[in-house]
Amino acid sequence: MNRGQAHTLEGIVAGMILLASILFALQSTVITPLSASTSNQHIENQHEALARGLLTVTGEDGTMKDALLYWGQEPDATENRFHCASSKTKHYTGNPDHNLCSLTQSELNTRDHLPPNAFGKQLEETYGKGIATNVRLRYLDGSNHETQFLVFQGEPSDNAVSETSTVVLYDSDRLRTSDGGEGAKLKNAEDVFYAPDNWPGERIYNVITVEVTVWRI
Amino acid sequence: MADLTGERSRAQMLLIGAFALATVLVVLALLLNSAIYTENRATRGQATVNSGQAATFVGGLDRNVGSLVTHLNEDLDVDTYSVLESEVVTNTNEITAGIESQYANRGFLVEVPDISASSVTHGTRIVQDTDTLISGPGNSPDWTVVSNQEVRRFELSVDPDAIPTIADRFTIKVTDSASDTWEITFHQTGSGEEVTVFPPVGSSESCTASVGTTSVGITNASMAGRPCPALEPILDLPGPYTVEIRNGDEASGTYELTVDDEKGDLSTTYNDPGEGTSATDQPWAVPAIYDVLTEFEYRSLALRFDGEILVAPGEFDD
Amino acid sequence: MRIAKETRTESRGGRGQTTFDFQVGATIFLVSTIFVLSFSPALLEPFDDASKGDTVATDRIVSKLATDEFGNPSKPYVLDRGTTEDFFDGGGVSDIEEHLRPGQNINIALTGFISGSEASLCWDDDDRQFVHVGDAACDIEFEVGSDPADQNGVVSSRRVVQIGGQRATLRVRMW
Repeated sequence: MNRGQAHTLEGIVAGMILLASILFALQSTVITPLSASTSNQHIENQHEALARGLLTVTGEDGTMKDALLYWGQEPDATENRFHCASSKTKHYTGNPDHNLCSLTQSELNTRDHLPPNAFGKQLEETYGKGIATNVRLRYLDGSNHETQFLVFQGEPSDNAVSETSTVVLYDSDRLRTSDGGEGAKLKNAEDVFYAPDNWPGERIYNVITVEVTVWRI
Repeated sequence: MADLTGERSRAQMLLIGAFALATVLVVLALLLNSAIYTENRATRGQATVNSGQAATFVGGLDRNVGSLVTHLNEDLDVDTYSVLESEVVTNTNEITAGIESQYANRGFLVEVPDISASSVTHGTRIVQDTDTLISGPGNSPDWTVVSNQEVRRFELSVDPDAIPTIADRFTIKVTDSASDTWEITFHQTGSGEEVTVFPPVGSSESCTASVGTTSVGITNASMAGRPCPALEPILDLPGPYTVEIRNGDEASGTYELTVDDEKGDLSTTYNDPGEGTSATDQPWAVPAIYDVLTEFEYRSLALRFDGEILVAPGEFDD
Repeated sequence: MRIAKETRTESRGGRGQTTFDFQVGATIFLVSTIFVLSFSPALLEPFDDASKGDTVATDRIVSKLATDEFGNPSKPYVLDRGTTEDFFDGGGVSDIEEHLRPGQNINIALTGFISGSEASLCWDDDDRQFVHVGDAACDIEFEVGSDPADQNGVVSSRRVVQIGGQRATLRVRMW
């Protein structure tokens, strides 16, 4: 009788060892963080390279500078903001506030967290659905570095990529109105604009770093 | 297991077999893991040495200092070389200080040493800003704009006459350093303006626009804001260039170009700006900056990149 | 006593029968072995994708084209219209196809948004502008290679570029 039970026990234990080993093997090969598997690494590389190309191209043709200057003092608003940004924040997160906006529905982006100008259009065309973007503007205030968001969609995930580019604003540059026309000169709009005149009396207004962060949701 | 008397026992073959299979599977998992990880590292792209960021920095420096040069050149209040120099030096150093500070805030060390007057090349901006005939300062229809100079940002907006004979049309002749002469003729056809480019050898090519007055960019091969393939070969010509105009009285319009010699050293004597808008006061020339030489150094954790760039917005190979 | 003898004879003897307990143990072992062996192909599942090597190739090709071949390395992503047209019109892709493995295909296209929709670009020589492939005014197509259609394992890489004032996307696909 002892002998017989020992056989059973032996068979069970052997089976359990095998099952444990296959469980271990499957778990460890799949769990090599899925976010770092080859195909996901490739997608991250593409996002980074696309961001670099986007910043270079929009810097060259001036649409990035226009997006930085797409700021105004909306009538009946207590704060200045980017045109059509939602009323709680000064930047674009979604659901543009139509009370503060002179653009029609068709002129706004289909992804309403993006700026309704050529820069936002380029962001929309480059990154499809399922990808979140943050655009962060850093400007100088004396020796401090301050931040103003252009687009904010939340905290980036661990696998986000980002690229930066720099733009110089001059005292003689003009703000843009919501339909793309020219508004007040920066040197006269210092109390309205998000960035101060870091070199008062000189022709340079400020140096702004544009940082685009992209991640998959 | 207790009773082994005279009996051959399997000696727990099942257990040993199970151990052996389990070891095989675990080792297989180890091998597969290392293969996945190796492939992941191999395809990681720019993660460690991000040379793309360095290239973006240099491109940004070029673009931003270039915007300053254009800005200063177009400001007619700055009209002597000494004032231009001090403005360029002061403002470039401010811009680069701002850029250095921004990059340092994010963990990159970039150093752009302050430029001095010796990094700046004096030039001249030759401008006609009222819509008159494109004849020279002495009202001559055939005249030499510049002789043996580097040229950048050469743009026109002209309305030519309709002339059937090619030799009588408004023509810009560009001679490069290899003594090849390219002729660019402008004339009005029934449907709009036509620009024809005649190479030294080979057949000519044309671009047309459907309006009578269009903008033409010689240094960026464009017409009416769109690319003009006929002008593209001119972008590859080696400088310095000699630019001449023939039959300047067959077209009227505005133009400008920037060359790399001081106003007093040019072969043609130009008027000063602001003297008037009649044909005798045009074109005029004003001191300008031709280019700025900037050194830079970029350092990140894994990359050190240094060099210098010559900022000259609108140059032929730009 | 007799039974005891018989039992002992059975467990010792050459009757060639296994005890019931041994059967249970061995069955459990065999079942788990078969289960485990049937799961081991799943270990190789991450390596199933035969086109993995192509991701690196497409990335390198599009990077070289967008920053070097079609433009100037000191001005990346700004393409020279004439050089790009010469590549698409003059069969420059054969230099790349020489280095592909047999059975590998490549498709290089410059796509852009015109009037809200995205498709491959085509140069219209008469109006000197970019239109979509398929437009009547299309003269020189900026796309080479066959269409992958519904192939599985198509890998693509893209770059944002500017050509002749038009913002576009350079896309390389391999399968």
